[in-house]
Amino acid sequence: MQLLINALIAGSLAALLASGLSLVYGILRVFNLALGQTVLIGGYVAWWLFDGMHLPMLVTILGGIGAGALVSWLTYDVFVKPFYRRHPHLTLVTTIALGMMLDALILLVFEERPRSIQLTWGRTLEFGGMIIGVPQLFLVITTLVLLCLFAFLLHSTAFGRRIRAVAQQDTAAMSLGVDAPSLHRLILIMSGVLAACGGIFIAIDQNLSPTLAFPLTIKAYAAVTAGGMGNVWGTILCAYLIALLEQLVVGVHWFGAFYVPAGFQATVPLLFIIIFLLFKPTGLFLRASRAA
Amino acid sequence: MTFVWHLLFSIANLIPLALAYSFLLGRGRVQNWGPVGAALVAAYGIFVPLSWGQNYLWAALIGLVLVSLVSLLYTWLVLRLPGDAFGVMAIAVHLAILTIVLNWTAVTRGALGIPNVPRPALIADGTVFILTTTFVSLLWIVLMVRIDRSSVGRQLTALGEHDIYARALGINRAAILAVAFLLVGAGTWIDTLFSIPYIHLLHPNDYQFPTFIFLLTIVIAARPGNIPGTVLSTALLVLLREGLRFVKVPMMTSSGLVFSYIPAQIRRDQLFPRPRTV
Amino acid sequence: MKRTLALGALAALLLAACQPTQTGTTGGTSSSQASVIKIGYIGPLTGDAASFGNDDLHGAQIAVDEVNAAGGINGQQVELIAEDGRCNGSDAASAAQKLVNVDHVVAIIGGQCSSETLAAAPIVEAAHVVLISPVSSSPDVTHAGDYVFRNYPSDGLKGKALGTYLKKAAFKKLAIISENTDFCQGIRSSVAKDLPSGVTIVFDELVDPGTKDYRSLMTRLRKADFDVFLANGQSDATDAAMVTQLRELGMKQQIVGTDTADSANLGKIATKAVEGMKPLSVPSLRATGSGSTPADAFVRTFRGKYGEAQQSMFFAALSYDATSVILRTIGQVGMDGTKIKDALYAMPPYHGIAGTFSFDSNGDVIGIPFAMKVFKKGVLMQAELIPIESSAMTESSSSIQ
Repeated sequence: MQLLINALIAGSLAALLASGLSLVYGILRVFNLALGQTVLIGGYVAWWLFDGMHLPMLVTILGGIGAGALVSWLTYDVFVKPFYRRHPHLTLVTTIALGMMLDALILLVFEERPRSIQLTWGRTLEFGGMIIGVPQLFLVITTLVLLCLFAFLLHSTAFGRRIRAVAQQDTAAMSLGVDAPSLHRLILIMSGVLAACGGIFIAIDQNLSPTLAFPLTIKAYAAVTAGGMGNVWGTILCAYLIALLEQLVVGVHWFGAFYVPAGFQATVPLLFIIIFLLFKPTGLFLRASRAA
Repeated sequence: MTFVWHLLFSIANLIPLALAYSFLLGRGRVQNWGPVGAALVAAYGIFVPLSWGQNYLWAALIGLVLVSLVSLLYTWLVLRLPGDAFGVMAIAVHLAILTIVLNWTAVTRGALGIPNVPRPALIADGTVFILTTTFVSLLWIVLMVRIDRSSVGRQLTALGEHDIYARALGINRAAILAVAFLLVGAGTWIDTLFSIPYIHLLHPNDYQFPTFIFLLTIVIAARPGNIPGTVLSTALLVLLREGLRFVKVPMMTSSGLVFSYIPAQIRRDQLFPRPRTV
Repeated sequence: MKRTLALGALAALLLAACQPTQTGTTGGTSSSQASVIKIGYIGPLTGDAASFGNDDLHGAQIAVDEVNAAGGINGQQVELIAEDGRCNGSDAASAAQKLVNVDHVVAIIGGQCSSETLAAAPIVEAAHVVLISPVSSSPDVTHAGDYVFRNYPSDGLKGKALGTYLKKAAFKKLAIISENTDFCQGIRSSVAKDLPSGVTIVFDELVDPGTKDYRSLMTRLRKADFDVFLANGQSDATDAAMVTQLRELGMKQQIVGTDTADSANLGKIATKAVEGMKPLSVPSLRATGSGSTPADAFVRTFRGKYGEAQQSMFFAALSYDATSVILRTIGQVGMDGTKIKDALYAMPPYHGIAGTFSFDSNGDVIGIPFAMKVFKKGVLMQAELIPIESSAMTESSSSIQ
């Protein structure tokens, strides 16, 4: 059904954002509420390179990713590292402050006007009554490839093993010679890279406006919370699930009798998560762990 | 001179909510990121019945009942969710309530808001209204001092310091947290009871995320849980915010969030102390 | 830390207390003691709505600069004091308090968001200071007070104009998607009210403000039977998303838009999708600004000083008109608020750059005509004028519910 395709597109975006966030949360127990702004900066820099400087697509993408990485580096060193050892919730406050500062910066540099990256191949593919734009198809496939790369990285490389070691017990990992602090920085940078990819996704699929940041962050957090804190794959699945719910809620002619008012498109998934978490607080996919 | 009265009102009006929230955050160490959701329920709970013709007393009572119910909902959530999840879910509740307000246009008029909200006849005059607000805030300060020093306050502090040990000592976590959340609900009820008639307008734009950010900044800048500190920081931050109108440094207004970063740096020990490890 | 904060805030408070004694005593005539006439501006200079807050500020500033360049009003220079209303009631009320009680402004251009206007209204009513809003569209503004005016074309007229176009173009089934803000709601309800006979609304949805994902709605729309679509967004960003996703799903029906779609930027961010789309706006503002009408001169001045409008040149033009009307009236009757108010009510039609207009008994504006523009290859061009029937003029005062 067309709704599934829609869900794929929206879900890919959410998955990009949520997966990086989940990694950060799972390992560092840190909330990065400046995620939305990182997404925007990645997208805006990419737009500027593409539209303003007319650089080829590849350079644009790399530039956007680079910007996202830089922002996360800054986030880590200034806003996370001095705090997260003391108490994880402190970073909630500091990253909110960072997010607001970045918001003001984005407004100043890129102004309020919405921006988008328009690709020249805007054809649409149609099959079996379902339609998908070619850029969107490209984006979905790229996202899936990225997520697979991510999986490979996490599970089949030495680097990934080190990350998982740190996730399980970072003091023990350090005593075995794994450089945990610099891994932490790398993890944050990875989430920044994924976020920037999300930003470029938005620039191509929709358009960038400075006010987007906060709702994006909320959506990513909803996915992380529902999927189980620290469970990356649960989070990704939940991201797609939430997107599917959003599309279904609004798109389906419920019981042949009524349509849900479109204003609730964003709310129903949120409510779903709230209600769900009331009955299974550890998330959809995390097995309840024993607390000593 | 009128502007000084206006400043006094702005400060006095914010104090009940700031104190109650500081009590919850400072003593109970509960990361409640969605108090504006309760504020919305209080506001529409009071002023929708008022616009339908109820008198002020009944409308206020209805609002109080509704905001208490929402506070109990938050309590239930905090009891069920691990601390980290609750913060984000409180935001989700706030956004959900906002969406309901925007879409349930038959009752709330949606995005148009409710204009021409009258002041209660007895205190309609500007100066009298502001003095009443100040008086109520002073009463609330006294109340919060009493509660803070009472057994409820001590139990909440114990829960905040170490959840499990406190419960092992027999402290009823559900009841104490419920009281704390109900206090926040009452604080926000008082806040809306005066702030809406002051500007004669109820509009959903006043209940977005930046409102919460300002509240958080106030509470963090003071020592969370410290009553005189919170009163002082409310006064100073409101003065600063209005004072910035005179100084004309545009970037500062949005980077007023710098104020939450710097105090967080300085206050990190009080806000989030390192638990003692043996 | 506390000490610095305390000192800083004390300084701010002293500043605040100092102001009244510096500029004189009470009432609107205090400005005459200085040689500067002060006008206030309330609008969202920061936050989500900052785009048109800043556009309108620039429009007002251009008007003030022009008057000052021509020698000011009766020899006195005009000063525009801008306050940030942040698109909500409490900040706007604070801003109005400061402008009225501390700066003693003669008049206020503001608020931009309807919540700002409604919050500032009681304050200006009590102080007898005229307030004129260039873009507040909520129907509640009509009855907000005697001293409250607006030159934003009444929603009743917009609905009528759109209805006229639909009838002329022989469309029968209208589909609307609106953002759930007071601005878009106003348009939606007026369109619904003034629908000509023979035209029905077959699809009417309200989305959360800021929604960019319309795909499922569009999927539903694909199954609906409609021949024209109204993209009722709060900004060109959401209009762009709506239109792009509509076209992406293969629907080829005619799209019409509101004045938020009258944006050169929209042509840039969704070039292919908006091809043929017709925004409803005022005829005087030509995109190129290359002619010699006052509107063209304004567009050129704006672009020269501030670059392209962030949201819409139309809003900036309305702000310019509002400011010019106020300044001209001050020049005619002086700085007394009550006299200015009476003069505005009695004003004969004023030739502004957005159109020729005057005020009805509620302070709403009548007389601004409409036109459908059209996007061709990403550039906006004039398409067709929509005549205003004379009945529209008398109806405007009662058309707001």
